Amino acid sequence: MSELVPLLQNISNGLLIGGVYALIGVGLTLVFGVMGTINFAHGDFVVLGMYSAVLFNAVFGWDPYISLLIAVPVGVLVGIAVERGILARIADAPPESAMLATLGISLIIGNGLLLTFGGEPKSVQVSYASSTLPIGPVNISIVLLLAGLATVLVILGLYMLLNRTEIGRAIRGTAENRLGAELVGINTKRIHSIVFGIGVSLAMTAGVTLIPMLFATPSATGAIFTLKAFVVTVLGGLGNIGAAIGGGVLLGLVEVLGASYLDAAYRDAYGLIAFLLILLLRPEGLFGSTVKRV
Amino acid sequence: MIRHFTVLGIAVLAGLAYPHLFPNALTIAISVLLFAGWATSWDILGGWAGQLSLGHAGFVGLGAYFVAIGQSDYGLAPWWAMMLAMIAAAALAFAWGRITFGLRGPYFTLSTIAVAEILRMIAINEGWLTGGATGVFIATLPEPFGIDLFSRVVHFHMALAFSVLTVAIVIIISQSRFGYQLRAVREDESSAMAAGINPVVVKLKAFMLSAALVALGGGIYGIFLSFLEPHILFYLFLSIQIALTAIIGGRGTIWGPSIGALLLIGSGEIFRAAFAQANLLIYGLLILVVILFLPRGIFGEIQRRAVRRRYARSTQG
Amino acid sequence: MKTAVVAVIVAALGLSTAAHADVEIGVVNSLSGPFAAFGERYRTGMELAVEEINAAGGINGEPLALVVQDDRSEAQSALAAVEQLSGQDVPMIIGSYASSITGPMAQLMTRQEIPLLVLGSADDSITKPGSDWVFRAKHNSTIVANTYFDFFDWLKTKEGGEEMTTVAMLYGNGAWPTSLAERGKEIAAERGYEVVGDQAYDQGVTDFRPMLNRFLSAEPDILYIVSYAEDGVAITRQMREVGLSAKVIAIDTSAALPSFPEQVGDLANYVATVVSWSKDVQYEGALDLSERLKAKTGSDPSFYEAEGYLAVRVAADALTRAGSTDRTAVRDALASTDLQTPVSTVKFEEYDGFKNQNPIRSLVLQIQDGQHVTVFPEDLAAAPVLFPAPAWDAR
Repeated sequence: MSELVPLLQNISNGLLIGGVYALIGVGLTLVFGVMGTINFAHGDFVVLGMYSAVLFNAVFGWDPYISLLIAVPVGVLVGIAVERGILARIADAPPESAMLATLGISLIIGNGLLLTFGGEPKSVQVSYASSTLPIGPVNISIVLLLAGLATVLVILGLYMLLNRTEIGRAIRGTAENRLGAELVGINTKRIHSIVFGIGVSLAMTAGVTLIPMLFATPSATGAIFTLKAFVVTVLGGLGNIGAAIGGGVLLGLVEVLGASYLDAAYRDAYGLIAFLLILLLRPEGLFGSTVKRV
Repeated sequence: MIRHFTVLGIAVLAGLAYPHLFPNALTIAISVLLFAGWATSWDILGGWAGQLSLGHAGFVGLGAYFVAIGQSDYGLAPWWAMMLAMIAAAALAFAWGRITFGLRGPYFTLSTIAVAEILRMIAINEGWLTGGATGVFIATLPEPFGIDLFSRVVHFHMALAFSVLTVAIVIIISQSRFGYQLRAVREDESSAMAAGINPVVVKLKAFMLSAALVALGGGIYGIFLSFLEPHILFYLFLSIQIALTAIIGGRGTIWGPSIGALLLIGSGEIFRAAFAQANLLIYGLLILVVILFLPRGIFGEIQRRAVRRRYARSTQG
Repeated sequence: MKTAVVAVIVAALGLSTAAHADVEIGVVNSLSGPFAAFGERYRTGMELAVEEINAAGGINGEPLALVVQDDRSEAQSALAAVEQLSGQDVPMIIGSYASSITGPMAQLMTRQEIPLLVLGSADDSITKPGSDWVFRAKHNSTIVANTYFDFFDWLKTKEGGEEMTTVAMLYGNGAWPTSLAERGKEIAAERGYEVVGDQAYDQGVTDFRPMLNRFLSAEPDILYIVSYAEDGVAITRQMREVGLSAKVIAIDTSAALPSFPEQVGDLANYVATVVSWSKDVQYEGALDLSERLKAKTGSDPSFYEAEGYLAVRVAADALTRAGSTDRTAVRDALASTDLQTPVSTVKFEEYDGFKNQNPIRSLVLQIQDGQHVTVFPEDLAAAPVLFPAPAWDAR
């Protein structure tokens, strides 16, 4: 019994943190699925989202979740601008060009934030930062619960967008066969812009939901989130949205259980080892064949 | 081939003159030469074999740590340590490649990040092996033939020799059977197989050679820094920088990686002095500009234009 | 435009031939990259010191100037910067923040016989074994770890502290957190504390709950946490969340930043942290210095600004006494420093394997009502310590 309660606590924490990871990963996987580009600036867009929450909190005193009202549309616009201005121009270049361009963008965002906000870590203090919701013997963190709920809503919304709307059909069509989509009259260039916009917006949303529990720093954190997003998407299956949830939850569980019952210093290694194993044994991802592609 | 070796010879002469002309700018030159060597070695796998790795910092760390730990714990002279490091790097690349060459495109790239990150965590956490997170000093070094291995001029010559060696190897490869096999595998693995080439063996050879050379440069880097910390040496950003240098210069070309090193490291140093806090921002902009306007890399574009001009001339004539 | 580019290139290659009328000190500081937050604070302190020294007549009548180079928070750039500064014939160099940067600088400058005054690095290895050319006026890991345990020992004499024996340690795997934790473990063993929890974590970890939950069952009396600059915020919030209480909560680095109490709010109360200086320490002129620093930036200063200020004051003192910019003369002057500043007294000594290390007294700050207050050592304290820290649910 005494062993069971901590185990349940760890599992529930792992599930919720996994939800956060899924939110970080889903934008990356969408962009890869449609455009075939690995976005190395993804984590920096997450950090950009964090700073937007910090900014609106400092200026207007808004709760981070309220700043989503602005961060989500701004993210779409930023993404479209970046795609039009940079990625679209090198669409015909060798595939790694786009990847390198995102590396350049990553440096620009991180250091732009450094110049604007300074290097000091910033956070938003919310009244519920350390509150918990007791469910039986297990305490659920409110911030994690909110982040988990946000993940579910966002992914549901994304699912509806992709499956119930005209534009969603066009996106799926482009992902499956770009040439075919062009032939049936879909403007795939426009789709690429929109998809990158959605990807950036998702990353910024993840940043906003993270800020109540974390802190934002301009240059180092971006790469860490990018790496997490890679692991999540590969665990689930690159380019597969439903699988990002599975990948995120799996990573959350592996990390929390590894850190709880094995050496915590290797915490991130557990995720990476799981990542390598999945890559080698099932390169299509753990949930690659069971969930419909995009 | 003779033409390339002539250029290399001129570069060596210029390099030998450099310490006399600019005795106060040796550190930056050492950085350029080390990156030229690393990027050229990286390119054997990344450019010639077409396998984009973002984990090569692992081999830099391996080389540097062999030299430092060899010296401080076992009294091993750096040249022996570097040789051991090259063997170890090749062995690691063999195992690493065996496991991950089944993966293609972005999957292979992602796997290299994962392996390098795991190496970093081992270097940090296994203090008995590496001195751990607090790092190791190289306090003393032997003096072969009275040469002071702590002297900047000596570091410069070592870095010069290293980069020249890597370029020479690539020149030889580019004209050899192995170079032909590499290109065949890069263009299309199935057709290469049909031509009787075993792609996995070819890629493994490229990976092992690339890894061993990068580790050699890592050993020189270790002596140059003479204080090692795992966070610095196994850093993902270092892997990215190595790849970036080669790609910006021109993947799969002989001179591209060296030109990339000159441009990226040189400009990085100028930006650092000129723009203070904004220097990395400007650096990011530079990367974007090169990618937007020279998508094949600097040397790649030069080559393409030269080929076009020759073609135009031949059709006119 | 063209001339500007040429000027930049010339400057970058260290060929600048501008006439030096001033006495110039080289500075290698982290102005970009991950350590920029600290570099910014050091810069403020250094600039204030220069202004004050020049207002008071400069160095033997000559104005003092800093030649600042950015190291991009990496060793390679720092080494290039040292070479450039050396080419500009600076008599000495102050730098830098991280020990991964200062370590290679110390090696190079010892070889080249240029005096180095350490700006921010606290790792023991910089001055132990040290060299004739490397000086450190600020603290090191041994001094800081000793101060923590002196503080714990002292609390044992307080009511409710008699039974304190168990320590749980949580630390980042960077150079500074690791060396502070390692020294802490040694001292804990010497002084009869039992280490009941020992967890390291990688930079970028966002979820500390599993580690904190592991501590929960050990019920430690003391939490000894060494974080990266930003992690303390998440650690403190999650400590409250999992309900991990202790009589003493010590968080190094993160909790010393003025922004910490703002970001963590009430949860920050009772948290203790070791610093080299604070505005309310009972030193002559400390409060005054804090106000001058605050007037410069408009925000509350921390010990980082003070350390920057201290470095320039020490350098200026040595240059004044040396009476020349000859490097050996400056080195000798540094070695015979005996200086009183509002930050600390400075005297470079050889002891316990250290060389040219100032045996600076470190202070313990406690956060009380959202303010950093000096509580230890007793003769420097501004207010009594609040002890023991109540359990989270009793606050």
